[in-house]
Amino acid sequence: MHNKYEVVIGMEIHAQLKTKTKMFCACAVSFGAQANTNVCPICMGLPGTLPTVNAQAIALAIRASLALNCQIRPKSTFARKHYFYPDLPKGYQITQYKEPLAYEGFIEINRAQIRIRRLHLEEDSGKSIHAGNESLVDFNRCGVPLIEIVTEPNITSPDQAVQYLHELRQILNYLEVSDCDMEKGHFRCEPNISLRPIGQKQFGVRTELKNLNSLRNVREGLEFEINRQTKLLNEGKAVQQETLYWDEQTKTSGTMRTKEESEDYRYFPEPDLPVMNITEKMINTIKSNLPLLPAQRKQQLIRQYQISPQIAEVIIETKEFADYYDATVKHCPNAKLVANWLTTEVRAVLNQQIISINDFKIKPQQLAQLLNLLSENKITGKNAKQIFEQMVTTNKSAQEIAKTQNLLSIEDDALLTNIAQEVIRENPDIVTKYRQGKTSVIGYLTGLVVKKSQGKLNPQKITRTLQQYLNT
Amino acid sequence: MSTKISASELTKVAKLARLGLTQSEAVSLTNDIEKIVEYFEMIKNLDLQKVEPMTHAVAISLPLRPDLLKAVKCATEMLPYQKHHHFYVPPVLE
Repeated sequence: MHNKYEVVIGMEIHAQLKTKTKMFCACAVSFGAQANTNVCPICMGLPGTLPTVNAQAIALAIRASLALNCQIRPKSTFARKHYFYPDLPKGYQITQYKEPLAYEGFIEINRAQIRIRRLHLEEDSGKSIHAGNESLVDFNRCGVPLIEIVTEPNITSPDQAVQYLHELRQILNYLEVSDCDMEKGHFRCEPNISLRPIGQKQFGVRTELKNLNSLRNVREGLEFEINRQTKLLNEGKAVQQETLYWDEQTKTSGTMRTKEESEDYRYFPEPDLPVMNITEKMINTIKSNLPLLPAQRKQQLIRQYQISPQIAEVIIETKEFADYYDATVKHCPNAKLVANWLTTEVRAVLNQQIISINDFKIKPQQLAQLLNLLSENKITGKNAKQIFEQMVTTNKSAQEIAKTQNLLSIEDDALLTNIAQEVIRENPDIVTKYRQGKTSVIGYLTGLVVKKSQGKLNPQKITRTLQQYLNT
Repeated sequence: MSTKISASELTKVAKLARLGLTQSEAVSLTNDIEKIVEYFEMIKNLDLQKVEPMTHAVAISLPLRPDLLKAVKCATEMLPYQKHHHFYVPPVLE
């Protein structure tokens, strides 16, 4: 439908920094705390107060800048951005304008480069609840440190936009710069979209989308906006430069404000904060402590443990999950088995309980014990799953459950021989089928032996024994 | 060399700063702003090729604070206009 036009998307991201205290005062950064309990005269904008910059916020912003391949400015400045809203008590936001901390970075996605124009530090506003004939204001979030990351308009599709956000979120998560929880508003994105006829150099008129609080909303919002603009252009109408609000319920966008009403922020240098000097030494210290990033971690898994790229991708989804994997492999050398279990059984429990790996009851060492039993053929695959289920609900170890419930496999060759011969005797028809070439029936016979041994004999060994008898 | 500030420019700036001005205030403010802008005109005419741009008059570097928590008082205990621990203001959305 829109192959006549080239899609041009730029992206503005706000990520909340993972600090203990706010950007310019020593109040706690919290989520879900009682309203207005983490506030002080500085973040409430009372007269006569002065901001003092949180050193850790600068360190985290530099960390992010380095991982995003940005240039870092040795001298950068803070500025005031003025607007009036009840949740902004000072009447201005302290941000960076003319000399942002970092600039000219990029992220690589499927060999395409998404160029980053700038990365700067700023403070968040409070929160308003609009209730009937009054608005209620909570200043807990006021002054929470953020980084704003702005791309060049060189994203070419909703797909690529979502990939960029996914990758960026993963990087910030690995860096421990931000929790990036979109639902909690830790990671907010505002894309701008325009279309231009293919081959045209000049950009078309762009619109901005707000209120996209999930990756799915980003995709749907962008697709909707591209279709809307395409239709307008095809009808010979002009796209208005405006800010649009995405309505998740109706899956449509509505006008927030048009260009005529767009704000004049009257930026000027923040007189209360001198120039921020970033030394080579600071940068080098932070650089030498950068962790492995998701892409590097993935390569390491593939190289070191010969895991498939698809499974490696699932393991590196979050840093916590990848760390859990590494911790488990330390105690269970069968790295592929660990990978398979983490991406299937463990993943399923996390999804079912809607928890992250950090809140998972079974710790790496405990899971490793179970997988070692399985790897050494001391329990069968079926029993391993049964034990795992019980480990999730009780505090018992794999060894303990296997012992008390008699689930350990036994190395009893005499028993195996006896049962195997018994099964062969009792099933002459199936034995004939096998000998006529229908070798797949071996699975059925194995199952009979497993049943007779009450699940205590190793299925692989049973199959091998049966084959020996049947092939002679 | 005097710079003129038009009535509409003054109205715009006053609106952005949420200031309601009386007629006489508007006149005297226009005067003041014109004088201030004149100073900038004077600076513009100087040869500043060799002067580095500056944003602050005092050349000190940014004082930093370690990321350490300080206990604070609940704000709603200090101020009167509160409901369910929130401050309340006239409705923002119409």
